[in-house]
Amino acid sequence: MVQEEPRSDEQWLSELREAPARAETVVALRSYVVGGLRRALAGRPGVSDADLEDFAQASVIRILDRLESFEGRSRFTTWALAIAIRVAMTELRRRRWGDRSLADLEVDRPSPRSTRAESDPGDALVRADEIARLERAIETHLTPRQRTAILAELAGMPTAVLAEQLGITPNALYKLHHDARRKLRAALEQDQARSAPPPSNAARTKR
Amino acid sequence: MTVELSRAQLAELARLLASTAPEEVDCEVFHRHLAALVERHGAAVDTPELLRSLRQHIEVCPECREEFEALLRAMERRD
Repeated sequence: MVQEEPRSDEQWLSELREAPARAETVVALRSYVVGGLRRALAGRPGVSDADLEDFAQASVIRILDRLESFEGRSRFTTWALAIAIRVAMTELRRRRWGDRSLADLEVDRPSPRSTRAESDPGDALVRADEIARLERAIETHLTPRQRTAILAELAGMPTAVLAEQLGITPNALYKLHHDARRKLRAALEQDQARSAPPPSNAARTKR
Repeated sequence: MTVELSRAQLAELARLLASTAPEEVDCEVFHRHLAALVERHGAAVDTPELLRSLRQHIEVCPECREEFEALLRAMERRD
């Protein structure tokens, strides 16, 4: 039995760029993407075969649009599958989130009731005094927009949806989030330094 | 009106803050290197600094982490 040699990256690129091989190669790419998405999304509830076909269709269009940005850091097929996974995941996140908006989240500040006892895995990780410090830092050190970015993400709002609702790009949202995290971290470190006991005389004179 | 954060959410925020770096690569840069990162299973990607930055990004960006794991799964289950 003769097995067909897999295409090289150069073959994929040249065949996808021009006829006559283009139509046949697009079909092969689509088939590769469907298989890859099936493995990537295996075990995820609510993903049908029709979804995989739809995701693959949208992915192939995106891949063809970005063909010239392939830099050869990896195999072409791995690069294409990374794009397809982003397309599929973005759609699945939107679907899971539904049509809730920021207003539905009522993002303002964490409620004091958030410190109530809960039997979840976080219990063991965060002590009550740390929670209080974190809540205080969120309230006092962040701008309203930074607070929104942090709280909406913790509520599970997808990046693409939040960026759209804030009217900014996903990268600008990442920067907003990063700035907020840096501020909170600095505030907590300062807070901790202030509340730490001063070194004893013995410790200061020890050689 | 306020949003209620659970302890799990606050724990997640504490984890995010512990992983926060002064300089971070954003999702666009991460995605540009994602396929190579997965293919080489974390071996050198361009420079050790870049590899550190990409790994750090996975720690603070749940969506990119999810996509990294999905691509890894797809590549490992091939054949």
